[in-house]
Amino acid sequence: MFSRRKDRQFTLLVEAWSADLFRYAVWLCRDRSLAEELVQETFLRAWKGIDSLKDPAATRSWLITILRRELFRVHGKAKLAISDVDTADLIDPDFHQGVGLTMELRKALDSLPDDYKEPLLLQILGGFSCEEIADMTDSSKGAVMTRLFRARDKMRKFLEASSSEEFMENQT
Amino acid sequence: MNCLEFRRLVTIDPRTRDKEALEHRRQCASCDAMYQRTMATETLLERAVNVGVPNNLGSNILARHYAEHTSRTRAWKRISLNAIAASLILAAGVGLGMKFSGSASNALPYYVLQHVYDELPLLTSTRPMDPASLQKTLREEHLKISHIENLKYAGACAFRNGRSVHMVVQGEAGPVTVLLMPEETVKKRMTISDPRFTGIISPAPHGSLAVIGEKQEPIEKVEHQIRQEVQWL
Ligand SMILES: [Zn+2]
Ligand SMILES: [Zn+2]
Repeated sequence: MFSRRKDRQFTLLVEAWSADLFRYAVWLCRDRSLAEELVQETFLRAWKGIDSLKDPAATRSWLITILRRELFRVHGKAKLAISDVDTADLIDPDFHQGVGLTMELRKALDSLPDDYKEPLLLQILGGFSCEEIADMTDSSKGAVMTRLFRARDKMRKFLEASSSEEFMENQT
Repeated sequence: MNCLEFRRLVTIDPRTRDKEALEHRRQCASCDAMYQRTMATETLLERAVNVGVPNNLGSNILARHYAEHTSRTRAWKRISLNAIAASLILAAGVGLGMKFSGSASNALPYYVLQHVYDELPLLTSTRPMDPASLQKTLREEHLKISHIENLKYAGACAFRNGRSVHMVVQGEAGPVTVLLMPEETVKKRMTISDPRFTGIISPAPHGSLAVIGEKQEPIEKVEHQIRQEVQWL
């Protein structure tokens, strides 16, 4: 029923992109088990559509687009319910490894409005250009640039205000 | 490109390959300094964004995919709502726990539970063990296991900063997770509880031992069994 070649292509896809997709999902839904489900579902859909994927260079943005669609399909309710809980500590069970500043930065990142956070994640995690981000998020390049500017400006101000010793070390 | 344009562009996209921007940086010392500062920040941001990924994420996805993808087109909604519900309850429980504790070692039950949730498929896994890497880890962590009753899975896992030996044994109420954590020292016995699981973490001759099972599981019994069967060398 399944061709060997499709299996191999799919395995490569999962191995290459599951970690990045997971990170992206966990930042947006703030929930590791839900993020894992989302990545699983994304690959399920990717499997079905894999034959239509012509341009290997577009694989990543294609996967992200599928994941976003799944996220918004199930996220609405979860978002409302989660907002009462202090989620900052739940992002990552390894957060203690991100000692001091990394943890503070994660909280700061997490506190950005989704409109700002998402393009920033796509840029840092995925290395996407403003044009690609605009495509993926159904917005204009100009709007993406404005959001990135504000998101990064907020993060910069946060860092400047932080008197953490680790930051001082990193600056020298 | 003037200084203002350069700074706006670099703020938006520090890794820009814009030719005019590169040229401006070469000619303008103060903008180059601004660029260097921005890149230092970028490194910190990258580190913050790169949260840990569950162990075996890729292989779990592939295993589940090939096991289920023929019959699960409609199952997603149910699965995802369950996942949301489970994690919300966990979130609430952990939130409370965190308020009471605060110190790093008191957070260990949380990491243990999260590890069990991260690797939930192991509870029902029928995939083969990896005896070679398991034996290697056991040797390096000065542990010895000759025979474990009702063992369903055993493997080596990354856990926080160190390693753990992750086992699943069949208990009376369902599969029971056993984690041998040579690098996690606890002073006294701790209990773990969330809406689904119950368990303990207790000191071992070196490091500690966690046993987590379904709510009705007689955890002490499994713990006793494991203490008989594992040798801390
Ligand atoms: Zn300049
Ligand atoms: Zn494990």
